[in-house]
Amino acid sequence: MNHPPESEYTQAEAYAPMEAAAADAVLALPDFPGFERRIWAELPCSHNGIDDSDYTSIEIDYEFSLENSGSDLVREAYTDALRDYWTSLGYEITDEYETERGDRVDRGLVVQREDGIVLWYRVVGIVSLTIQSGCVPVSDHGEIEYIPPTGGIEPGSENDLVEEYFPDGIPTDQAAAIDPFANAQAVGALVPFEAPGSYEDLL
Amino acid sequence: MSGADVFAMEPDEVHRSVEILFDVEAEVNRQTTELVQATTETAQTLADSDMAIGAALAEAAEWWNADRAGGFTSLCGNTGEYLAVCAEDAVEVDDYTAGDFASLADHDRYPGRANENASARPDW
Amino acid sequence: MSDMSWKDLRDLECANLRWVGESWKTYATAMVEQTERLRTDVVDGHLSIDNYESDTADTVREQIGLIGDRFEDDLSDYATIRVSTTMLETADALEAEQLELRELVGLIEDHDFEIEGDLHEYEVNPSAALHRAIWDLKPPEWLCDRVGIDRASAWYDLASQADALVHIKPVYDSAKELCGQYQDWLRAIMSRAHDADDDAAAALSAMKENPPELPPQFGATYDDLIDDYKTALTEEVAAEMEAIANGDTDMSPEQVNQWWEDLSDAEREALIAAHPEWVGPTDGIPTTARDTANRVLLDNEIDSLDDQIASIEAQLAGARGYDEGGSVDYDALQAELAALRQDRDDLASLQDQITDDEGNPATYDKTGQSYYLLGFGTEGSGQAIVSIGNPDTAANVNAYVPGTKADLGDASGGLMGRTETMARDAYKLDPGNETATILWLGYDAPDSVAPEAMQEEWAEGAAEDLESFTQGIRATGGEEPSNMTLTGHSYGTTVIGLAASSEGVDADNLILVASPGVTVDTADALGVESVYATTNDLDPIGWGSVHGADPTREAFGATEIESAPGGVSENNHSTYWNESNQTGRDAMAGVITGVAG
Repeated sequence: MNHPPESEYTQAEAYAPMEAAAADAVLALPDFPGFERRIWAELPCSHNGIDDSDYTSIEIDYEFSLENSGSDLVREAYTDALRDYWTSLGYEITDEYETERGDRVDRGLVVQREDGIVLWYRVVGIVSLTIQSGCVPVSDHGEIEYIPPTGGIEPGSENDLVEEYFPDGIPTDQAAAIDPFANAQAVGALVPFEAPGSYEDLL
Repeated sequence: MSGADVFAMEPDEVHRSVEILFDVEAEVNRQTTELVQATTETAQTLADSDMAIGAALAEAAEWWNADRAGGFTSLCGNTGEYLAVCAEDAVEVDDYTAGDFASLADHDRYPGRANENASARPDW
Repeated sequence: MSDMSWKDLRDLECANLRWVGESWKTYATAMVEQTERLRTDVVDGHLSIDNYESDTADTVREQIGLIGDRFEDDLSDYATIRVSTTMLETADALEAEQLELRELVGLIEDHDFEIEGDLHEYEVNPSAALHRAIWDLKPPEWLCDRVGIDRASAWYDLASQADALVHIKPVYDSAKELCGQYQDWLRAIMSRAHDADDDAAAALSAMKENPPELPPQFGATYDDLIDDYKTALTEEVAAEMEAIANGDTDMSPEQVNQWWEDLSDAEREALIAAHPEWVGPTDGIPTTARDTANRVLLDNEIDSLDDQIASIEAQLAGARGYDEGGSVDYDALQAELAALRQDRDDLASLQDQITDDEGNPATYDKTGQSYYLLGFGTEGSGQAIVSIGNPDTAANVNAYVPGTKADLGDASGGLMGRTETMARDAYKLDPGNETATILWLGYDAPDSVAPEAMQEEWAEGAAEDLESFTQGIRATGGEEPSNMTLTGHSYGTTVIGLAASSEGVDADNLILVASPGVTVDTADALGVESVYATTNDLDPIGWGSVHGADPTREAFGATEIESAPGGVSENNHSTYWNESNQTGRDAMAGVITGVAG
C-alpha cells in the first residue's frame, strides 16, 4: 500500500457533504443561537508514520461565541440532542468523553459516518461542531468550490475563515445564494485574547 | 566648549573636586576589597567541593579587583592628581607627568596621599 | 570541569552562592552611587564651568564622564550580568538538583540500596544487606509488594531450594529494575548539576576575555590615546553582540537578555539593522527583535541562493557548449544545483507561510496570532523555529519538537499543520489566555527510521540548543513565567528526554507522543514537574522502544494520556492530531493551557 486507505471523496469533493452534515446537525438544535465563526483547516495525513503530501485531512469548525459557549443549552442540551439525532441516523458513536476542568465540565461526542466523515461536538472553552474528512487525496485549490456557511454566519465575512482557498475573494453569486439561518442571533466579530473580566457567568 | 583663550578657575572648588575624586577612589577600593575577600572565601569552599565554579569565581573576582574596579580607581586617582596640579598653579598644564603631583601638589591638603606613593606610579 | 560528587551536591550550601550573587548586585548599586557623585558633585558641581573654565577643564570634565560611563558599563556587564546573575542562576539550578538529590538519596537509603562507582557514571545497586535478605528468603516488605507476593506465606511454604531460586529471580529483577531507575535519576541529577557548574564557570572565565579598553590616563600619551578610545567605544556594542552570538561569552540567555535590555533603543535598532545575523538566532533576545532580524536574514538567504543558482546555471550552460567531459564536473554541479533549488524552494515556502500579501508578518487567522520567525537554517535536513503568537507575552507556551524525517520543507507543510492544529486546540480550550505554539525544528532530525533514528547522536546534537531555547523563552518572558510545555513526537521525544536529563530544560510540562524512549527509564530523571506520555494501541512504536523504557509504562511514572488510533489498516504513528484522536487532542490542549482535568 503506497498511500493511505481509499477515501470516498477527493478534497474538492469532500467539502459539500461535510458542510451538508453541519447544516443538518444545526437543524437538530433547538433555540439555536447561531455560530460565530466558520473555519476551514487541514491536517497532514501520514502513511507508514510519515506525512504524505498527496493527501490531506479537512477539518471544518463551526464555533459558538464565547458567551454562548458558556450556556447550559450549548454545553449540555446540545450534546444530548446531537447524540440522539446522530444515533437516530444510524451513525456510530466512536468516542464520548467528559473532563472536569475547574468549575466547568468539558466533553466530546464523536460519531463517524459510513462515508468516513467524522462529526465531533466539542465542548471546551469555545464549543464547536467540527467535521473531519479523514485522509482524502489533495485537490488543486482551483477545484474547490465555495460553499456558504451554515448557522447564521455571513458568507465571506471576517467570520467566514476560508480566505486562503479563495484568494481572489468569495464568489459572489454563490455567497448571495444562502443564509438558511437568517433568524439566528447576530454575533460579533472575534477579538482574540480579549478576555472578559470574569468567566463566572460564562463557563 | 570653552574658547581658545578662556581661562577662569576657582582653585578651592577645584581642590574640592580633587578631594571627591580621591574619596571615590578610596571608597571604591575599600568596598571592592571587602567584596573580593568575601567572594574569594566562598570560592574556596566551592573549590573544596570540586566545583568548577570555585576557581572561576576566585579568578573573576581577582580580575575585577585588579583590572576593572582597579582601573576605575586608578583613573580617579590620576584625574584627581592632574586636577590638583592644575589647581596648585591655576594655569593650564600642557605637559603633565605623575611626578608633577609629587613635586607640585599641596600635600597638606591631601595628607593620605604620600609622595612616595605618587612617585611609585609610572611616569606617563 | 565540574568534579562535584553527589555528596558535595547534597551538602552544598546554595545560600552561599546566592549570597555572593546578591552581594555583587548590592555592590554594583553602591558603586553607581560613587559614579553619580563624580557627575553630580564634581562635573556639575565643584568643577562646573562656573568654577573652572578652560580647555583643560573641558577635557577633565569629559574624562570624568568617560571614566564614570566605563565603570557603570563594567558594573552592569561584569559585576551584575556576569558575576551576580551567574551566581544567582547557578544557586537556583543547583538548589533544584539538590532537592531532587536529597529526595532520591532518601529513597535509596529507604530501599537499602547504595551508590557506587565513579562520579560521572554512578551506579545504584542493592546493598550487601539487601542481597543477604533476599538470599535468606527474607526480602523486605516493599520488595514483596513490588513483586506481588505475600511475604509470610510465599517464602515459608516453599518446598525446595529450586522453588526458592525460582522465586528469588523475580525479586532480584524487581530490585534491580528499581535500582536502574534510581541510577538513571541520579545520573540525570548529577549531569544537570555538572552542566550548571560548568556553564557558570565558563561564563565567569569568559568575562576576562577581550574586555573593552579603559580610558587612557592623563599624561604624555593622553592626546594620542583618547581618540582611539572614543572610536572603540562606538564599536563596542557591536563587538559585544558578535561575541555573544558566536558563543564567545558563554553568557546564559538570561544574561543575554539583561545585556540587551541595558542597551538604548537606538543601539538595539542599529544592531538589528546592521547585524541581523547576530540578533536573529540568539536566545535571550526578545522575540520581536529576533523576528525582525530573521525575516531580513531570510530575504538575504533567498537572494543569495538565487545568485548561486544563477551562477551554476551559467556554468552548466557554458559546459554544454564546449566543456562536456572537460574541466567542469557536470554531475557534481547538477547535484549542487538541485540542492540549492531545494533549499531555495523550502525557504521561499517558509517565507510565504509567515508573510502576508503586503509583505508584512502574516497572522494565523484561526487564532488571530502573528507568526514569528525565531530561527532557520539549511544545514542537513534544515531547521526552522516558528512561533504562532508571541511567547514573550503569552500565558502559555507550547513548543512542538518533531521527529524522524522532519525537514525544512515540511516546516511550512505538515509540521506547520500540526503546529497550527495545536494552536487552534489551545485557543478553543482556553480562549481567555493566549497560548504561543512553536514549531521547534532547531536540530538536524534523522532522515531515516533505520539506522538514523536508532541512534542518539541527533538528539545529542540538539540537547544544548533545546536547553538554551527554553531558557531563552524564560528570559524574554517577563515577570510572570508562562506555563511552558515541550511536546515531542516520535524521535522528538528522544530529543526532549536527552536534553532534559543531561542538560536540563526549563519547562513545566513534557508531553511525550509516540515515544521510542527518552534515554532514561523514569520520568523522575527528566527534572520537569509534570511528564505526560501517550501512544495509541496501533502505533508500531509501542512494539518496542529503542532509546530506553516506554514512557507509557506505568513503571516509568508519567501520567498517561489516552490516544485513540485511526483505522486498523493504517500505521498510526502520526495520527495523534487527526480525526481519530479527539480525546487525546483535548487532553493535550488541557496540559498546554494549564487547565488539565
